[in-house]
Amino acid sequence: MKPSLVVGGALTALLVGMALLSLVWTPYSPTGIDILHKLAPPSATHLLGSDSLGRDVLSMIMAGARNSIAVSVIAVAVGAGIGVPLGCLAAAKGGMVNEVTMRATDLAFAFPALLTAVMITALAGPGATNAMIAIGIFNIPVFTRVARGAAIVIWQRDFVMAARAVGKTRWAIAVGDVLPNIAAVLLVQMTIQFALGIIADAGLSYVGLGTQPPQPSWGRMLNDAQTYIFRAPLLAVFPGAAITLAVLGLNLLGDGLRDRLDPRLRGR
Amino acid sequence: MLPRLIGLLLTLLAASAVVFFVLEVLPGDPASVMLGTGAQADNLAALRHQMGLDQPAWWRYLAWIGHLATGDFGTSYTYSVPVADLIRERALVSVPLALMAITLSTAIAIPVGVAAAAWRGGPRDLGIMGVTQLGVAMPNFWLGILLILLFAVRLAWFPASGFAGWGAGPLPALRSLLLPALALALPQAAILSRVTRSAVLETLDEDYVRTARAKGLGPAAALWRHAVPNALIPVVTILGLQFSFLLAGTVIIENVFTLPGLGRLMLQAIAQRDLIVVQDLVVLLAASVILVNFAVDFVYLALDPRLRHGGAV
Repeated sequence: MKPSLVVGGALTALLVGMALLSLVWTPYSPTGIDILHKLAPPSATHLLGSDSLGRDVLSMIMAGARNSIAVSVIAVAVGAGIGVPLGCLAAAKGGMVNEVTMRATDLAFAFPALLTAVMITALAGPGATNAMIAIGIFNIPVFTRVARGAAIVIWQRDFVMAARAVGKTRWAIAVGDVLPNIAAVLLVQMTIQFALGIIADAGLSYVGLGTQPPQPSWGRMLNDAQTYIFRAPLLAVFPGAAITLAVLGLNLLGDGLRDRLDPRLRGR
Repeated sequence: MLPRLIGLLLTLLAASAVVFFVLEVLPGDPASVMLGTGAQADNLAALRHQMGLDQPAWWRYLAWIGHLATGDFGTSYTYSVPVADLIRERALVSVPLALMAITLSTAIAIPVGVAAAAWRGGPRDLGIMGVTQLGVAMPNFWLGILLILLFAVRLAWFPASGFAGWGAGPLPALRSLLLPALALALPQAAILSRVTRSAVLETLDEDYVRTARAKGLGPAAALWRHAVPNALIPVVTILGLQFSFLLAGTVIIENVFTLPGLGRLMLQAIAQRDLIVVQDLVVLLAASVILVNFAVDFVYLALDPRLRHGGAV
């Protein structure tokens, strides 16, 4: 097995495990304020120290993982849920449908994603739900493109020609033959968009537009930490390291899966 | 050529319609934000009339587009100055920042990517790939905070935030843009060097590189004269796409370094529901992305003479 698959899988398992664990247990309450022990350095009582309100940083990072995963997973679901059917439709129908879908994705790509997500969340109201939608919208054209590109190749294959020759309907072929054959490509894309979603969510909550306090989020923690950067520099290190490791894990997992699924790309 | 230009104009028009429509659907009435929650109904109606908000949406869209076409960006509700002036002033921060970032990123990524390809499979290649994998995963705003931590807090070489302005000459201004530009550039450089590496790996396997070696060209000459120029097309494609990421990235990076750029202008304008400023900014950014992608097509022609005669790559 490739090392990227192993390391990526392990980091992703760690991320998801940490998030799941935070549902039932964290060392302290992630929202519990303890002003007497604020800005404490890492120690046996607070493994990663405490923040400006005395909250336990490790507990906040664990609960932050949960919130970050929730936003990006739902954003991926929104993107794939709408984008994949659109892409499959464009591939199956061709002609005008294909042309219109492709021009629409071109148009969507003209808007810098994060910037537009900032605009949407700021106007529609800051919060996790709007962050999911804003990030999800920009996943739609990505999945449309990927699904269409992969599906078009499958439509040319002999077994699809055979299925058409024996009178199977386009719809039945799209669902029964094409979709299962592009599932692997879509899975790889999902891990990539999952990783991008975590970065986007962190960016939105850094500027105060994502998950709202008292719910902890990695981006918000970094913003708070910047205020105390001279007194407690480590506060700015841990949440960022959590984001980087989560994204690194997902990217490696995506690379590993791609190599496994498409041997031609090995070693690139 | 002409169909391409018409397509470009249509895309710009569609982009402006999307922006207008999205702002129309999202909540937030500029007049009620200006007057606050305790506003009288008749005052509100008077202000809405004065701002032209009582006119139908399609009419306001046409008026906005008509003015934009003549170079009139309208007047900001909150600052009561022409939006063009606001944007020009802030662009003096954001545009140099973006240019510095893309220059740094290209200057780092191409040599690194080519070197990694030349050392294919060796320990140095693995090392570069590991570092770039980490660079891709790092959010640029966290990198910005780390740079502040190292160069401003620990070493005190650079200011932690703020912009010196262009008044005192270019050097202080460029100095205050260097850390934010690095924060934007390094993650992009990580992606770009990976793309460069795999593009060069591909061309290194081509027959013409083997021919060049067979006729007695050294490995370095074969690499730089034959493999690298032929690998530039995908690199330029990604560079064009990254421009859009870079623009979006400035919004957050300008917040990290409290730079008075276009990103901060946009956040302030959104907070005050100064919709004309938001509309103009988003359309301007979308237009620059569209124009850059248009320009990329011409770079292809310069890089690959085969494309000039309608051939396929």
